[in-house]
Amino acid sequence: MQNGSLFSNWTTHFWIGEGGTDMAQGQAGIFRNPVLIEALWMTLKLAVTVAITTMALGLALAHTIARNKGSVLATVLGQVSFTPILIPSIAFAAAYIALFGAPIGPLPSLYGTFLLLVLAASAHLLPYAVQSGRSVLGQISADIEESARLTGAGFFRRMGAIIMPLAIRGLLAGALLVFVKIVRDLSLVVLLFTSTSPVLSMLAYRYAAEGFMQFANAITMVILVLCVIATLLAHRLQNRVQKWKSA
Amino acid sequence: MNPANGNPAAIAIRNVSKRFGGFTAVDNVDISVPQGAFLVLVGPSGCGKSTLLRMLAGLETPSEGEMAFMGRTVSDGTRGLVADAGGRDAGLVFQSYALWPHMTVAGNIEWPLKVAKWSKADRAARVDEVLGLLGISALKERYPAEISGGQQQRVAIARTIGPKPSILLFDEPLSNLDAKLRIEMRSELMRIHRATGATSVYVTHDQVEAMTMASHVAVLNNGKVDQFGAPLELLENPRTTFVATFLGTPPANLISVTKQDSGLVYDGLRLADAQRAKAHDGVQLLYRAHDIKVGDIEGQPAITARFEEAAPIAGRTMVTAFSNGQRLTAMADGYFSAAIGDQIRLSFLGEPSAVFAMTGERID
Repeated sequence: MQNGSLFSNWTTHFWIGEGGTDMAQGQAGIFRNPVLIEALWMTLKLAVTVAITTMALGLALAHTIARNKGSVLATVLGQVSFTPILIPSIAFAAAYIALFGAPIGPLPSLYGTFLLLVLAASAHLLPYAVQSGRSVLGQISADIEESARLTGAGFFRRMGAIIMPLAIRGLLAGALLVFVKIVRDLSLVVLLFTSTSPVLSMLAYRYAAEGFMQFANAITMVILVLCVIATLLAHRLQNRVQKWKSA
Repeated sequence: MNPANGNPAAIAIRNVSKRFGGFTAVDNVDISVPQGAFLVLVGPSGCGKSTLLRMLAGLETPSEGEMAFMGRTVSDGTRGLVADAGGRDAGLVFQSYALWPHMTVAGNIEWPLKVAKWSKADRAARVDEVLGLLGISALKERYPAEISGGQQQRVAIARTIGPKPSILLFDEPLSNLDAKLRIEMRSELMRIHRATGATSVYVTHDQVEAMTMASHVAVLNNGKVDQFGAPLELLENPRTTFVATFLGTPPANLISVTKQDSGLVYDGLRLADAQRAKAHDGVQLLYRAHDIKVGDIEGQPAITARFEEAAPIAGRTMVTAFSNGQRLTAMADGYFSAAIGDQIRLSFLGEPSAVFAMTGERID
């Protein structure tokens, strides 16, 4: 097989190869693995959901902190929203199992559900969202919002019509950060994951654990491509919105 | 200050104080103005005038006292904001203009009307109307970043008067404009005030704006109202040295004198009769710039001072000089100039306009 020519020993087997051959103990390529597509969608769904929820929550928290600057509330919120970053993901996941693994009153056990993954990931990545929300809001002067308040517009109207359009660029950047982090993340999902909620990083981990490094590497490539596409999309979106800036 | 016909004052500020921690920004302010008034709150930076305005706008809550618009209580020290910022029929023009950068000029003016649930046709008509009133119809589709500061100012005013508020609040609206534009916008604002008929409150540190625009002036100093009244009344009868020196162009002079025998003496020179000092031994005499003239005048007391600067004003020259560390402003006929540090003679024409105790309050 090894005849010295550069590409002669390259194979696409680990991507699209059929199962049952001599290669890799009869394992099929990753694109023939039915779990892959499911994991891909699950990962995307999780990442998008978490990016949106953390950014919405992060913006609301950042707004409260910015507009109540100096108060006890702002200080406490600022500190608490930063805490998750100090906790190792694995410990965070364990805590969430302990918290939601068993039914609480009328609430059913959340273990293994998509909801638990979203909850844990959102809480874990909240610091990134709050920090980017704070830096974005720092650039919007209080006057701009006060002038909206004087018109009689309520909180949500001000958020939707004034703050969001002005903050959208920074929010997209923050959302991208959260998205990429959750797509790559393993240590958080490894404990919360079940077969009903497979994600890409978990799939790569499983291949690697069984010694199929090439398959694991292929999944890693898929994750990388996903992140690159998300980055490019976010970049394009950032150029699309806030046209008034470039005009 | 309720008008005689029994109508409630358009704006009544009753014993309002505002404290931030241990710091008192506004201290027991009590003023009210009738409908259609143009109230100017004037004072140096940090005197509490902007805080007072923000309380009127509903952006801050008074710590004590009460504010009422047309007899309706809007803020209360004990109950907080009785009417929210949006619910008090008042519009505020910000010092920074605070235009929404992502909306066009027309969008900026239209949005408050949208919030107030005006119909589409009414909104379009009103936007065109206020654009025309401010003379900025051509800028309709531009974004705030694409127009000049003076134009942004006009947009900010147009946006504020759009929903036809009965009270207009201005927070140093002209301070970001160049001198020429400022004078232009001053008359523009007066025209809008007349056109809308709205009761206006105008905050400024520029006493010229106060003197030219106001129907009522409140001079604020360290959170307190030093004096409240018509502009000319304040100019002619200042009750404190602060008001006397803060208002008027060129600035008036305060000269510290001591009682000697039957006269009030400055640097060995008798300026006025000792009776004007009443029981005080040392007092401050108010001389307006036009009551001190450059050069000796037969029969009038004169001193020697060190020339500092000269500025021509309307065919005469305003001269600043120092005497014993005291800054004096005098007038010279025609154009006058000298080298810095030159010794010049200053003559006092007639009696001082007012006499103040050393602590600042007026005694004669």
